[in-house]
Amino acid sequence: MQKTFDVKKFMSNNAIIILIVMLAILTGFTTKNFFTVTNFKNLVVNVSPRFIIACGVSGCLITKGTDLSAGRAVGLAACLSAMMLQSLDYSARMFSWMPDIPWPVALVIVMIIMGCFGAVNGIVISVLKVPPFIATLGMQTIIYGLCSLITNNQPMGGYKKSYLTVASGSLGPIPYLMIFAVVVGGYFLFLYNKTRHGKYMYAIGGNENAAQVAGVNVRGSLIRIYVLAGCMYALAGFLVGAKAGGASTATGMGYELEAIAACTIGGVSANGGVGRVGGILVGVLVFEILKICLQFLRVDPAYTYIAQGLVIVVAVALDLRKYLQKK
Amino acid sequence: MSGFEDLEAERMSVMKEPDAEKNINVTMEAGEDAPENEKPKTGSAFEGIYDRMPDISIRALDCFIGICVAALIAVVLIGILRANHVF
Repeated sequence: MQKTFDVKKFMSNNAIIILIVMLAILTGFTTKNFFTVTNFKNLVVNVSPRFIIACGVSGCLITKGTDLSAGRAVGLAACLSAMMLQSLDYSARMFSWMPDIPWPVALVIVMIIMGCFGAVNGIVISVLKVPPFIATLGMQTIIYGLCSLITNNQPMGGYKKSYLTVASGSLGPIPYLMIFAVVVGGYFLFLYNKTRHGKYMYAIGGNENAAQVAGVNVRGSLIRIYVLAGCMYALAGFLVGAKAGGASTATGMGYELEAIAACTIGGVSANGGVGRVGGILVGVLVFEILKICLQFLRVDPAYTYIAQGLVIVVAVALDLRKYLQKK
Repeated sequence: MSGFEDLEAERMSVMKEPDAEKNINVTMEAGEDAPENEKPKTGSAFEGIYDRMPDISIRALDCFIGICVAALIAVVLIGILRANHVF
């Protein structure tokens, strides 16, 4: 039996992507410098840290949870990286006693610290059975408070050249940020599709009780998911700090909502059990391309926020539609 | 992943049968005490959010999606026109 291409179904499943592609084409034809290598590099550099954050959040969403502490965790990671990687001859150095630390070592330290925060999230959610929304909302506030304490509410800068090069440098035509994103994407692709952890994650998202009865260690899996998410926020914060050349308590604010929205647009269901890495990338790209197109069209940022909000609503409504059709 | 979906589908089909004993066995197998078609009462507002929503027809949802898409196009168009000082 031949399968006919259902245009209506394709349009309804990919409505947002089709609209954004049309907007990009319109922008390309009506403005200068849109379809250029420089703009493409700009897009890649903006998308890379957001994709890493979205990958971290995706595990939480697939298991019917959420992680509202993502944005503040990125901010704390950026501040911790800043504290360890300021130039030795910088006059306003945060810790004058700190020795010169190579950036890979600083990255590992930040990932361990943020992984611990992720572990706390995972334990509170899986062992104490606190709803993820409440647990991560509380953690968000705690992290913000800690960040304010350790930075004394002062913005930080004066980074070492080697740290700044992580964000501004490139391997030939490929920015280092893109290499980080590709490595993370490849890892998550492998993790979600080829490992037991990935299978357990989808099983927990599909039906936690059935997964438990089938022998899945639900608690252990959830803790690992939130620890991995914490590590991803650490990496993203490290890269965001390098890209911006500075960090403060405001760094990363609101990133969690963008990441969750991008995951939803990319097909990660709010009902759990569904989600692909390719879809996450598409969701992040949709958001960034929308922003860049409206910037090129000189649209007031207020309209951009409204448009982003509507995109999120449409994405959730389409997800609900798929769920109702299946039901 | 597909194995658990099959288990879920099988449980849903068995639950519809009038045989009470089978219903009890399936419910015990899944480790749940409440029947499957009852909406969850515990947890935060965002967990199992689709199960908590009132019954909505797909047609009504399509209308809502259409309105949102129209609003999105309108917002972008208005933004572009205002940026070009058309009004």
